[in-house]
Amino acid sequence: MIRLEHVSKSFADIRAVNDVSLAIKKGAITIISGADGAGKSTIFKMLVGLVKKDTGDIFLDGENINGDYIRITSVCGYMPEKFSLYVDLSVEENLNFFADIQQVPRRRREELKQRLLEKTGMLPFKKRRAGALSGGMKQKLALSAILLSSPDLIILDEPTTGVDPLSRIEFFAIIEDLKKEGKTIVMSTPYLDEAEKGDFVVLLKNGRVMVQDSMIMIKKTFPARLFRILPRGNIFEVMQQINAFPGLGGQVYMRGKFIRYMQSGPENLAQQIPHLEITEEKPTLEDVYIYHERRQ
Amino acid sequence: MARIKAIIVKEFFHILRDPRSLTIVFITPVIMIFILGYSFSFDLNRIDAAVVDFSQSDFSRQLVNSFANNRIFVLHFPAGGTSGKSALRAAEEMLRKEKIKEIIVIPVDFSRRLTVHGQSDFGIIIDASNSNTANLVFQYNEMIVLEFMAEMKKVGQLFKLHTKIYFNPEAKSSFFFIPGQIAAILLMISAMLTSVSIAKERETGSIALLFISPLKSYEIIIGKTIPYIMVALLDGVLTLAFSRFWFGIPIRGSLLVLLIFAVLYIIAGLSLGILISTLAPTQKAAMLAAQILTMLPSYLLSGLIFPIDSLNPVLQAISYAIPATYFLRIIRGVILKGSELKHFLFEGLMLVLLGAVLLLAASRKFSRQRKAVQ
Repeated sequence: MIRLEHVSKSFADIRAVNDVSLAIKKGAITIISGADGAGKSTIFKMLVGLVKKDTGDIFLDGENINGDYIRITSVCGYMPEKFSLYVDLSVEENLNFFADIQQVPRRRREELKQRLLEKTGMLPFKKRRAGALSGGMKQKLALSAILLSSPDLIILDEPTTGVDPLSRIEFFAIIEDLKKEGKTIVMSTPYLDEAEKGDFVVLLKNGRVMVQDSMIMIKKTFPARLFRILPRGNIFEVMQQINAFPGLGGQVYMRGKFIRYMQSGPENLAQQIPHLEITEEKPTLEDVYIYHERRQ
Repeated sequence: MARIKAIIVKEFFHILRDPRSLTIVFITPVIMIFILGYSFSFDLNRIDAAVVDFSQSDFSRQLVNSFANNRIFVLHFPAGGTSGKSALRAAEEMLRKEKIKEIIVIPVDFSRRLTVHGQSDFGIIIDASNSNTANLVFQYNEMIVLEFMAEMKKVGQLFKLHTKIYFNPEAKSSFFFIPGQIAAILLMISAMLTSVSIAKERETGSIALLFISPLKSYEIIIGKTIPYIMVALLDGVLTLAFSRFWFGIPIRGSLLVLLIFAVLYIIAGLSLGILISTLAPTQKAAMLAAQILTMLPSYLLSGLIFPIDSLNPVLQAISYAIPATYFLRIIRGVILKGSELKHFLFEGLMLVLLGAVLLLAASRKFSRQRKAVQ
């Protein structure tokens, strides 16, 4: 649906986004993940025209938008990282305002509002001022506000940051529902466990794309084998021993009483490590991130 | 239209639900009028004068009496007698201590010279550390001396001058200053309201949602302006009513005429506010900038305190670019003189022109900012 090609953006001396090319597939959930300052928010802001890109091209349905951001904003709903609705307006007043400026027809509005409030569990709080809502409810309200215009593309910038675990689960359930309705969703998160819920994942570091692919392919093509070892003897000494193997430096880490390490070569090192138990595991997105992050 | 209405309704919610805004809008101007109404005054209600009469004659006593009979003058006779050098020194000491504003010195041969030559000198030493007060003291002296001379030469029987003072018969400074202050405060409030409102949207991030919405820039500006035109007008009514009932400011002209020009003036102020908001990153910065950019020129360069003619040419040129310069003439004219619409066609035209320039500049800057936030 949307494609970025060689897009870059600098703020003074800082290269926030560096030659990024990525694709957002129609009807799927694409999650952009990376540490703070990786360039996630800047990419979203460039998509909706809040930040002007320095170089590169943005394509919508195969056509270069050539700076005409209205083409994107007319089909998308954008939820910024920071809660930006009006705290002194009630839930309902906020929704009414955004319905008005999005020109949602009056006859559809009430039904739509009711449905969104029910879906997000906000119905009992519709008279409550937005400023008095919890972090999770604020995000649900912000999501409801952008859904009023029934956008095809939904851009969510870190919607679950600072939100309690239960609300995060509820939030993802709503996103799954939206996907089932055929919406295209692109969201960012610094949490890799959340990013695993995406159909497609883009991992960023310092404004550059480290990895991007479908979640299935990312794991399938993970270029290393992952082992979990319950060491025999002192865990730190075993760690040192593993670290000394050529090609493993920096790819070894502790998890409680276990050591996990990634091994790229065909050689089986397991027998050379003093262990009580050794298991080969499937990589998580966290492993993928660590693998690529440490190789860079 | 529905989108503009949505912004208008939203702005009213913000105003009514924000006690700080309500205080700024409705309480601050009244307090300002109250304080400034009393502090801004060139009226002189009392002139303390020391008398050093070396002559001690009938004529000198008549002269002293003519001062004593004036309600403004309060005469002091320095310790050590009213004559002699010690009296003069004591009077000078009083002048230094600011206990008196002038010393009336009558020479020893005052009576003899009047009798022999028909004329005589006498001296008045005025404290001119405050030049405005010194001028007023000088004028009062001149008036009393002229009356004294007329009495001595019986000129008063030849002709009698009848003076009628128009528009402000008691020559009260408050009648002159308070309408001007209403003008200055209206401009400040108008500019502050919009600048803070937009800066707040920027601070909270909600401006981004407006920028990427289908709203046109002009819709945002109109929607943000209309509620504040109403609020500022209400504010004008409140300050005018307070001035009328507390300070007794007369309203001799048509309120409708005032309303028409007030709307033009407020639009200019609101546009200035939008322009400020495009440059100010925070609400605090916007508020400070609005106060400085409206109050200083309004008070110092618009003719509110100092006549424009007395400013240097550069400042005079600047004064013509200040909306308060024109609205000041209008509000003073309508309130004090009962002037009509036809008397202010030039001022009205200038307000339209300044408002249009400011609005255009604000809209362009706002739109440009929207297109390229970074």
